[in-house]
Amino acid sequence: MAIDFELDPLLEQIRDFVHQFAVTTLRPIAREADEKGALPLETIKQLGQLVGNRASIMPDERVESAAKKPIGSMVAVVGSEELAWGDPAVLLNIPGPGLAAPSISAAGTEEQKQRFLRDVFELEIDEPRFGALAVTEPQAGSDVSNVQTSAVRDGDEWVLNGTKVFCTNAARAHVVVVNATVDKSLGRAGQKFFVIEKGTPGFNIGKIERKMGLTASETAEFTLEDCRIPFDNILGGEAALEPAGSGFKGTMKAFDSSRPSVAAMAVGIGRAAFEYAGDWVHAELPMTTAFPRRNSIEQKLGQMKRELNAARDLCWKAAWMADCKIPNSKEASMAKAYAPEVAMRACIGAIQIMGPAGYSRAHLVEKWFRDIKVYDIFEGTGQIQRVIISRNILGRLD
Amino acid sequence: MGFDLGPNEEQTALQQTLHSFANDVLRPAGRAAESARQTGEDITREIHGIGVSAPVPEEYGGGGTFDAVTYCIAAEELAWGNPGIAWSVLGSGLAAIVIGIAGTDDQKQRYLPRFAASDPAPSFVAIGEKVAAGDLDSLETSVSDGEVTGEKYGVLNADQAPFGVVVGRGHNGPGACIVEGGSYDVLAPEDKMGLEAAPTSIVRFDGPCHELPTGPDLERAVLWTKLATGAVALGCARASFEYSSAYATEREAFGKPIGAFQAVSFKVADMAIAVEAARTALWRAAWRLEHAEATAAEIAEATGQALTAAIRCGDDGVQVLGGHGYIQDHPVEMWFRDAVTLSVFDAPDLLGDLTVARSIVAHAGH
Repeated sequence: MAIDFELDPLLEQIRDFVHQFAVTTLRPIAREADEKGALPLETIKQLGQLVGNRASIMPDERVESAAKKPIGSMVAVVGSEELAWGDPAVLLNIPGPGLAAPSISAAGTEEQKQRFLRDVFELEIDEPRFGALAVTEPQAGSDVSNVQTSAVRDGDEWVLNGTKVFCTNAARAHVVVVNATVDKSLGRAGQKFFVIEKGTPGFNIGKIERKMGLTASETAEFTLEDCRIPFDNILGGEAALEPAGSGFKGTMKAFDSSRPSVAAMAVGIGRAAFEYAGDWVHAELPMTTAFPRRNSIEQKLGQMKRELNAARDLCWKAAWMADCKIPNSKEASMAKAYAPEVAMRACIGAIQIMGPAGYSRAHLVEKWFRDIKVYDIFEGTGQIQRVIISRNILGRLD
Repeated sequence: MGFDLGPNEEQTALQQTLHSFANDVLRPAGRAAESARQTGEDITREIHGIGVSAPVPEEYGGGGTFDAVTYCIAAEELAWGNPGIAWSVLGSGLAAIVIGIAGTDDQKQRYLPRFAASDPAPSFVAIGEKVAAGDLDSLETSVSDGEVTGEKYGVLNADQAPFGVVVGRGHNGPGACIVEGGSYDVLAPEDKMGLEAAPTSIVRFDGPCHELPTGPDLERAVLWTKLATGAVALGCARASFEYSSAYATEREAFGKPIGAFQAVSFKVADMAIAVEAARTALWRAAWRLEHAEATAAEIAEATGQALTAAIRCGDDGVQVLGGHGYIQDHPVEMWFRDAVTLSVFDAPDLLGDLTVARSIVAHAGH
């Protein structure tokens, strides 16, 4: 080992490729997608064709550098930042398993990885396909241990009942991962993960949410009413039912893998706003602007840049640890706590620097502000990240 | 090659050695050094013996130099032990680094062997001024045509040093020179609220000097001194974070350890994030300084991140201990004073971010 901040050539190549894609394809459609609240199917197909597997937003443990070192998590953070810089809502319309991938990778058997990830997403297919992860329920958000959705075994099937909300891409997903409890009396240990495939009877999509931002990304509610799935769809297989089987801890492991990428998206959004405001100051703010105002603007820009760069380093560190198979729960939460906070500061700062042009829908900065807010909420709120970080340091004190 | 944050074996060994030393020697010595307003000669000598405070190339009789990342790792550890002592000892040797990087062969021959002695006399690198500290472009001291003129603040060891380095404005960009003891006036010792183990003065320079060649080497040397500020800030931040975190698991209120309350545990989490973010930022800047051409803005960013962390951890550290944090039975109040004092050398809220900003506005649109 040696401390080295140089990106692997493959990562540089991916970053440049994805950045170009963001410039030429994502940015131009960002405003229209936001206004319409959706993308045309044709565009979604094109996104799938253009990016292929190169823009995987979630880590793929099979990716290796030229030196045969695993770099799947690094690819995910580097790619996610560039995609989100292009447009965070459009990026969630790029076909692929999305957030279903980390949980299946973390908790699934080899056979399940093949069936739900490779067979569904990597075979020759004409239609765009999506994956989704549904954890949140109307009464249980941050308190994941309190989910009410139940799974009851009936012969070689599971029967699921419950309601899930705020689920990205649920309505069009081929593969939806849900957590449900097989035994309420066991608390967290009773929670297991199940895969529901598209078209399963009893899986009913409810309302599609109208949101403050990320409007072009579809957020759905669904109910499970006596929804029957094969017994083999429990992630981890039969072994998951053993006391030490994957369940609640499986999700937590999945979050360790997805959080650095989601944090990197926040960095991408913040960087977009920062760069936009910097260009605007350069082009629009006369050098004759009174000293105090110009100075305060410059200082704000300086702080944004410093904090965004520091946030990126946290994302990279958490991803690097994941690639090295070093436990990274604390570091993943640090990235996820810090990046949305500083990116939010950057977006608000950019609006304030640009003044009326900042809040105007003629520029994208106001959109990024609306988009960034949810990054401090989904995938674990900033508060939950701090609970995880402090428990890692202090131990469980309550 | 490829992104990697794992220290190598030598760095790990050095870090461990310094950590034990910081824990066993610097922590217990901190309060006494603060009261005495100086760092004991034995401590200075011992750190010098480890070879980190004034690295001198072997060809000039020293034990060899090391890279900027390793320097940051070492400085963090010493500052974790005690920021004032770290500032005093590291500051006394910084001139060796500046002359080693930017000096002429003649200057190196003349001055570097003096740092290689087992018990070298202290020196200084004088940068800060009454108004400008972090911002090199705004320095008023002029260094040109063999003359140095200007007033410097925070000059370490000014009344004992046989020589030191002064950084100011040259003909074109930063300029620097070596001044001999006795060729300047020590106007007054500084009576500071923090970093008291590092004795500093206000000094008037007005006379002949030995100029260091200007150019990229000099700029790199001066940026290294900024890294030193950042690394000491990082060690100070980590000290406060770790101490107050441990306290939060022990102190009880309302029947539970105070760390069980989120108002406290979230402070612990935020301190942890600040320390982690500061370290990666600093290592990146140091790596860039070593392997590429780090700009002043990049170094200012990293130093700013570290100083911000030090102030935040200082403040939160005292807050977690409550009344116990405010009294001198615990070291957190000292670290908080040290952090804020240190920030004057490169204030992130004032000048650090402006250094970053200028490069942004200059480059925006391209």
